Amino acid sequence: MNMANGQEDKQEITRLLDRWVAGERAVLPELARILYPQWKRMAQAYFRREQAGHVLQATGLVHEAYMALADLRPRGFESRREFNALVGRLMRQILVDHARRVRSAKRGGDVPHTTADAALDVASLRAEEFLVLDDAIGRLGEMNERKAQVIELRYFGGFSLEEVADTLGVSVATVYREQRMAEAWLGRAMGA
Amino acid sequence: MTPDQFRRVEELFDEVAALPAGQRPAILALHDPEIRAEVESLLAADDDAAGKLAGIISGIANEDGLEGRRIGPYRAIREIGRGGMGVVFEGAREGDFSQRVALKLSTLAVYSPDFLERFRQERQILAGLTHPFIARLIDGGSTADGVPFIAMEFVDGVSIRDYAKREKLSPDSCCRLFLKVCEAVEYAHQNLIVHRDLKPANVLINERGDPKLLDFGVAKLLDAGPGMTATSLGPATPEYSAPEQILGHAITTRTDVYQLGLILYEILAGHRAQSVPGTSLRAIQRTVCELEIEPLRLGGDLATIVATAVQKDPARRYPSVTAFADDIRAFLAGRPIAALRDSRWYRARKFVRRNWLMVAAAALLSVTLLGGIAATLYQARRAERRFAQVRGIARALLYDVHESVQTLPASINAQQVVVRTALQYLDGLATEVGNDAGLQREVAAGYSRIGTIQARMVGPSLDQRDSGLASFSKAAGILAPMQNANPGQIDVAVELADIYSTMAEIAARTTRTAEASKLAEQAIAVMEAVALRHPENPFVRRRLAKALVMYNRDIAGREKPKLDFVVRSVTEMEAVLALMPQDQTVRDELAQAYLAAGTVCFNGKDSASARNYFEKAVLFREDGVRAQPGNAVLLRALMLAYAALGDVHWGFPHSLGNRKEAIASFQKMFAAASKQQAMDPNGRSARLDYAFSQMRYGSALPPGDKQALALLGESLTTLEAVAGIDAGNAGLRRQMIDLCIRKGQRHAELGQSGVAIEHFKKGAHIADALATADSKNLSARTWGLRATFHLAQAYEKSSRRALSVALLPKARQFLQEAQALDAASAAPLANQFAEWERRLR
Repeated sequence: MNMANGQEDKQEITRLLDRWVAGERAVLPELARILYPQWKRMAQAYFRREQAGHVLQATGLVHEAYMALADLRPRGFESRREFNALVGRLMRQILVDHARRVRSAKRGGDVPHTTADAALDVASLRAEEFLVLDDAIGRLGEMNERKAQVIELRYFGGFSLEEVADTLGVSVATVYREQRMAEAWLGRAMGA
Repeated sequence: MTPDQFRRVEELFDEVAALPAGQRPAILALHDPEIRAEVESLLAADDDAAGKLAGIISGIANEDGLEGRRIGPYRAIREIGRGGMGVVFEGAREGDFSQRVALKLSTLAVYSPDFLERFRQERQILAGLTHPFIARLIDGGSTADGVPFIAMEFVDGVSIRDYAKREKLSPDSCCRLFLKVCEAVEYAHQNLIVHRDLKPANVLINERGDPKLLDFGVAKLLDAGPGMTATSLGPATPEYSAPEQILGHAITTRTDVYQLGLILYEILAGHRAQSVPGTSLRAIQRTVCELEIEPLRLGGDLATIVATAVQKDPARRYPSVTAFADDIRAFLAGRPIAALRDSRWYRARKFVRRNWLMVAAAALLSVTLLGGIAATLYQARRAERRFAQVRGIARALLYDVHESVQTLPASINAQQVVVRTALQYLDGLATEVGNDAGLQREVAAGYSRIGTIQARMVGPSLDQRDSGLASFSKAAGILAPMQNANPGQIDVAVELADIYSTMAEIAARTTRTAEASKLAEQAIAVMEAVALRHPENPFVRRRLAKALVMYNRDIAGREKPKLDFVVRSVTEMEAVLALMPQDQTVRDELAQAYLAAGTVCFNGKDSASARNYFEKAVLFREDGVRAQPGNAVLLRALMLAYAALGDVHWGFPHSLGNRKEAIASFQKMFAAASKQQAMDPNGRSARLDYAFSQMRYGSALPPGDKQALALLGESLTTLEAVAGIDAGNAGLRRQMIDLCIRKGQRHAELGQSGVAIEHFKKGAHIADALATADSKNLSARTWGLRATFHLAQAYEKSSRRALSVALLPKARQFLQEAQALDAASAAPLANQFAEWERRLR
């Protein structure tokens, strides 16, 4: 599957990954921008669940997105750990970008308010809600970074408990505990 | 909150969250009010939190909905479901909002060939399933942006769980309703399909109280080969997964037995058989694979039946849905059930099961040994009992064992052993079935299953095809008398007709024309007899029409055309369409019927009738493309219909000779082929279609037409390019020789004798290479001769007689070789050769 539209994008992604390896975390939004078109569709497919609340399993699709990026992975990613972390973070960033776009489309103002706009209203509410959640994850991370990472890896990266444990270098039981409290904390922040 | 406070909250939360709710207050009471309040508010959010977060995240990821969008000829009205495989909408046909359909879109297919393949498989599976209790496939295609979709019968109903609750069904009524569900699953199993995702939400009950089975999205063809494993799919709903699905073990018909058991449990009990606490994989594994399901509090046989179906170990479950349903029927009738409380039954089965492995491994199980097992198993039991068990073994061999054996590498020998052993069982059973119609049909189904396996084994030799035919004959031998005794019995007739059609296909493939023809006629005769008794049943009429179309398409042409079959294939299919005018598949089949009928007529030199049929085929195909402009398959079908109609008018010795009409058809063919190529610019088949449409169109244009030369030239260039990639394709080279001759003739007409000669030479040259490469290739020689004749004439016209003479020896060699290969087709060429020699004398 083609991750990037062309050779240029591929080179650009490789260059940005190199900078990420070198510790330059600021390249994330740029990386997300290039990957946005493809990942948006993937994310839609990925987050489709029969009913909310089921364990987020890594589907073949996310796996493919992952592999496509892995093709471009520079040598600097010695372990899968750092790379997994990047995948979770990227997916989150991409959804944040997406939510901002939805919100600004709504705020564009040139769209007349008719009943046909109901869909857009719902979309805008969802975007708003998502951005609040993203904010909450940020605050949780300030308090306890690992909890935010667990959420990122589980919910956005689609990794299994075992993979998350491996990525963070802790036991599965720890990941389970961290996830449970992080969920409760975020759930409370979102009015669960 | 300070980091220190946060840490204390964390510790306390972890501690109490792991406890049952009742024990929490005692621990909480020991801590500071501030910390305690914080933890309590977190605990309050704990239950719903995960769902809430997933909802928010999937909400944004899913935000642009498809509602209101056009999907093929339909419009999506509202989303009715989502699954791992895609989205389902209620939809309506554009311009006819009364016809509701369920539209299933595979949004993943665009990204992954795997998903596309799986989706394609679902469509194929549904296309093969016609059962009143299974939601029917109506149509399929792709949206404008390439997302594949399936249109299915829209079922206005509620899940079987909600229905049982709403109607307050008694246990007996639950059982009766459930038996209908079993019937649908059994039917799927007979078609070698395991559903694998049976759950209440996939069984809807309509307003008539009939079930409709949905969602074959993860269904699997039992003999689909090792390509797609069950584990890679991942169960969509943990609560309804069978242990073998979680553990990645072999999925068999018993997986469906388990899931059916869960459904029956749930409608009887009013709650799920088990629910998974939490979301961790471990919790799922423990619940699904380890914890035995709590027995139903009904007591008696019904609880035993359900408990047998939902055994964690597949070997302890009912061997088939039939056995499961048989016991439910026994319960309803107050007869004793087969699943006994004592475990002797289980021990016996276990013993037999161990022996299956021996079978698969080394053919240790022979008829003698079977006698031994039977003696151990059924001492002092009634013959009926023994019979049921042997029947179970035969089924298990065919469905379970074959399934697992064939995925082993180099399993052909093991497969043959399984087949041989199963045949022995079946032969034994066949002598004992007596007059029990159900058992007779079962044995027949076993024989056809064996026939299918034999005919499909990797690289089947002629021998295997013969033994496949022999097994099918046995099946037919059982069903034919049943059908004779009661010719109006639809299911028997359809099974029998299917067997005859398959046999006809095998015979035709092995060039036993007379036999193939006879078998295809038998399929028709069987369906005719049913259709006579069920004239209003569209399914029966359609199956009859298909048998007729099959005859016209695959058998006629090798034999003298049967006009009666031609006419009736069309009238029957037209009648079916009148019964179900909106059905896209029927429209498609009718177009096929017209095309097959036209081809038979044209080959029989009745060009006027052929024209009539082809014109109708074109009309239907044009409709199809209008309804689904993005569907490449329909577009190609339309292109082929134009080609056939054009050929009737021009280009063959028995064509009608209407150049103008031919040009009009070929021009449309060319337009369709161009569109097809634009959709798939690098596709080999699209390029070839394009080249052939240019060749036909160019050849039909009147002499002297400048465009003709350009078309033929471009066609030749394309063929050369494809031939460059596809070096071994002799048919393609034969077309190139033809094209060289046609183009050479055009140049000659325009007085460009030099260019004409170059083309004839090129044609002769290609033929020469082809003939050298393959001493048995007749058309290399006949077409080589044709090119040479043209070349010789061109030389003579430009007064180069000596060059014409020089061509004679090679041509004579070609002629002699052609005569040796097939004297009849070489005869006209021999005449032309003699005339050429006379000219030179």
